[in-house]
This record gives sequence, structure tokens and C-alpha cells, in this order.
Amino acid sequence: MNEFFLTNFSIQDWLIVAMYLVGVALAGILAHRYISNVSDYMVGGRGSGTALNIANYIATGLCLVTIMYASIESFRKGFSYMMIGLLCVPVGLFVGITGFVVRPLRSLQLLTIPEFFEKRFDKQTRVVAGAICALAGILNMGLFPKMGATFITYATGLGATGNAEMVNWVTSLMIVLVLIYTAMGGMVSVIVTDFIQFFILGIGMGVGMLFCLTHPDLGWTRIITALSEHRGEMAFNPFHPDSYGWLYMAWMAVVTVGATVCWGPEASRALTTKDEKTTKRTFLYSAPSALARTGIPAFWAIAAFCFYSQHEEMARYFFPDGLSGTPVHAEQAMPLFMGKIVPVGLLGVLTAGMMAAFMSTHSSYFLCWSSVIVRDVIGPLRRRPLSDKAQILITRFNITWIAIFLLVWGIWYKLPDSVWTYMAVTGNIYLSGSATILIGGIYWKRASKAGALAALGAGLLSIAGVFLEPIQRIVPWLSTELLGLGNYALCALLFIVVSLFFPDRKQSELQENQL
Amino acid sequence: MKYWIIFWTVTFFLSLGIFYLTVLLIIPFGIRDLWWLFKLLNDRKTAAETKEPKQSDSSIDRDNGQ
Repeated sequence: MNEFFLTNFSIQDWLIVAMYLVGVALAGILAHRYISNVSDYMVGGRGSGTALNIANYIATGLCLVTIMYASIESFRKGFSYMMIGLLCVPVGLFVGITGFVVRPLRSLQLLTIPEFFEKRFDKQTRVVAGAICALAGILNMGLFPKMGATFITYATGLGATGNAEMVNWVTSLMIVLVLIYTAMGGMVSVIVTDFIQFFILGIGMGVGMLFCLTHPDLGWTRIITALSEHRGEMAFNPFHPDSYGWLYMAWMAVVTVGATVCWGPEASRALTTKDEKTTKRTFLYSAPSALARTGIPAFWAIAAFCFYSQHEEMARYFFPDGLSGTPVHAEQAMPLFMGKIVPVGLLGVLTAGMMAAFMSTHSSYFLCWSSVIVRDVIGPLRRRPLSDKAQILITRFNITWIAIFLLVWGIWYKLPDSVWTYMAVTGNIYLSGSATILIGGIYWKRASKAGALAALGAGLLSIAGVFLEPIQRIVPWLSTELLGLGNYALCALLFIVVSLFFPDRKQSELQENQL
Repeated sequence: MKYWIIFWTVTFFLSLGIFYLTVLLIIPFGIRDLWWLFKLLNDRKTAAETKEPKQSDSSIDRDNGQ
């Protein structure tokens, strides 16, 4: 047994985690009694009030992969990473105050975002957007289980026993539980469980923060001093050449706007509310805390850096080239640190909180992508419309195969290590094209279906990001951020030019009464 | 670097405070919303069981005659 990886996690903590898992699964399963039609199943009957919708919005957006990614990045780049979370604040406030994109979407009483494309352009655009949306979304989930498993391995101390298969079984169990309650109760189960998970997650994050700020080896001043001494300005200034730089931040600003209004699981919260006012309030009231949602796990990783810098063996393990050098095993740093500083009992609460983050995102993603496949790909391609019962049945089938795909792809299959490239690229495949045509479709009267299809096609070029390393051997100046930003620019350019050259012969009803 | 440290200290703790204020406010109001949602869904289900089955209320389904 490797004592280096031992943590405070004990049998009491496993009991807390088990109680949480049983409780949340039961609540999710019982909620299925309230389903009576496809609108109840896919958008919770459009009955969500402001507070409930905000809780759901936050729980969906704050997944364990976000927490893990935030901690990996901050372990490398300190506070600079928090600028990405900070970008969400003005974007969310703007969307919340003006109702930009989300208000018109809610007013149309849609069940999915791609439905808008049929109303504004045509059926073909809806099917193409739906297919790309589902493909990108499901691929984007590919790393979720792996990141969840990494957290559990190092926070629970299972890394010390080398019992990797046990971690796979725990992660598989969580996915199966989410699959059962989401397939049974649809959005109603998602709303109920997300609300419980929001509460558990809030407590778990609070526990983590408390110990980072009050531990005798840590505290705010010690953490800041350690970081500034060893990592220098790049750990605080995101525009520093050794940190992210301006271009990367510009790309992130564009991604933030696109994701806020167009990324299915989160943007679909605009559709679940009882009215347009509640939709606007959801974005407005959740915006100010956006930084804390990524900032808290980022701070845990910064505190981990301070902790490891005081322990020679650990410092050598994570920073073989010295504390100012590039860290290795960054994904293990935060979970291992939390497992070492949080005491028995509270560590179970923290882990249950992280499992809540894992499950709440999976449930929303499962339902969102499955609904898109049924409503926007299968439905429009059929001559006869699907009944409510058939739509719910096919959605349940889709949730099951997406879960099976995740189990095989994300846990048992070894994925490449580049977490962020994978996430950003798969997200961009859909976002770059769809966000462009969604915004253009709502606010530009001359937008045409030819332009929309051209932009969606251009978005597929983002797949090149997966193969960036071999491409960079030929084009060495091509960076991830340049490719990402360039792709958005290309989509927008093609959308405008093609729309101007190939206008629609017949205007849609929406075009005539431009929103 | 000094200004960046001040910036992050102020911004981070402000955001942390807002986050926990949001959490504290959302819990009681969220429970109220959840109760209201259950009541709404239950009433709709009862109405659907006593009358003919309710179809999707999506505007696009109405357009397609579904």
C-alpha cells in the first residue's frame, strides 16, 4: 500500500455517500408519478419558478468535470484561471437584463433549441443542427466519467490500494442510478434531484473552503504568499505571456456567450420556466455567483499547491522540476489534498457533494441529448408525427444507450490525457455554428437557410482541434485558441455572406414578424 | 502583481459571499417552487386522466398538427 495516497476517508464517509446515493435515487424515481405528457417529461411541464430554476441551472452547469478541470488549470496557472469564471458574470447579467436570445426562445414555447431552426429556417436545418448538437454533446460527455473516477480515487484513498476497478464500479453505479431516474421521470426527476444536489453541493463546497481557510498550514495569506513566491505574476495575471494571454481570453469570451445562450443542457433552462420573466431572472440572479462556482474548486487547487510546497516528498511528486516548473499529475492534486485535510465525516459530506455535481450534470445532459435526437432528428424525418408515448419511449431508449456509451467510452476505455482540448473542441463543433445561426436567426432579418447550413458545416471544422498536434507539425503557428476563435469567425462570415448571396425565396412566419 | 492580488482578494471573497447568499435564499424559495410544481403537475395529471389525454403543448407540434 502506498501511504503517500492515504486520505482521511473512512467507513463513516462511505456510509454518508451511500445514504446520499440511495436518497437521491429514490427521490428521482418517485418523481416519475407526475409525468402525464411529453412536455412534462422534457421540460417539466414548464412550471419551474425562479428559485427552483436557478438551483437547477447552477447544479447543471457545475459538474464534477468542471470542478476537476478548474482544479487542474489552477494548479498550473493559479488565480489566472478564475478570469474564465469571471467572464460569465457580465455575460449572464447581460442575458438576464436584456433577455438576449433566451426571451424569444421561451416565448416560442419550444421543447428543444434546434426546434427554433425549423421555425426560423426549415426542417433540414433543424435536423442538421439536431444531429450535430447530439453528436457534439455526447462526445463532450466522454471525459465526465473519467474525471469523476479520478476524484473518487484520490479523495477516498483508493489510489493507495491501487484498486482501480473498485472506482470504476462506483462510477458505473452512479451512472446507472442517474440513468434509472432520468429515464423514468424525465425533466421532473431532473428538477427534483438537481435541487437536492444543489443543496448538498453547496454544503460540500462550503466544507472544502472552510478547511482551506482555517487549516494551520494554510489560510489566505499563506496561500497567496506561497503562490506569488514560487509561481510569480503568471499565477495572478491571465494576460501574462506565460499564462493564458489575450487571444485565449478572447476565445473564452466568445465561447462563454455561445455556451450561455446555446449549449443545450444549460440553455434549455430558458425553456423550463413558467414564463419569460422567470427565464430572464434565472440568468440575472445566477450570474453574480458565476465566479465562485469555478473559483471555489480553483481555490482548492491553489491551496493544494501551498500545502504541497511545505511537504518535500509531495512537492517532488507534483513538481519534479521545482515549484516554479510545470506540474505533473495535476488531476490528482486537489482530490488528494481534500482527502488529507478534511476530517472523517465531513469528507463524506464533501464527496457526496462532488457526487451530486457528477450526477446532476449527467441527468440534464442525458435528457437534453436524448430529447434532441427524438424531437429534432427522428421526429422530423418521419412522415407521420410521433405520439407523446412514442417520444417518451424513444427518449428513454436513447438515455440508455448514451449511458452505455459513457460506461464503455468514459470509464473502461482509456482516453487521451488532454482534458481541455477534448472538451473545448467537442463543444465548439456545435457551438460555433449553432450559436451564430441562433443569434443571427433571431436578430437578423436577412439570415437565410443556405447561410445557416453553411455556418453549421463550418462548425464541423472544429473537429480539426482533435488532431491539432499532427496539424501543428505542418502549420506550427496554429494554436488551439486561434483555431477556436477562427472557427467562430469563419462561421459568422459564411453565415452573413451566404445569406446575402442566397436569400430565402419564401419568408418564414418568424422572419415576417422578426422577434 | 500587487494590484492583481488585491483584485483577486476582493473579487473572490465578494463572489463567495454572493454565492452563499444565493444558496441561502434559493433553498426556502426553491422548496416553495417545488411544492407549487408538484401541485401543478398533479392537477394536470388528474385533469388528463378524467378528460382525453393531453398532447404536447409545443408550438412546433401545433404547427405540424400534432
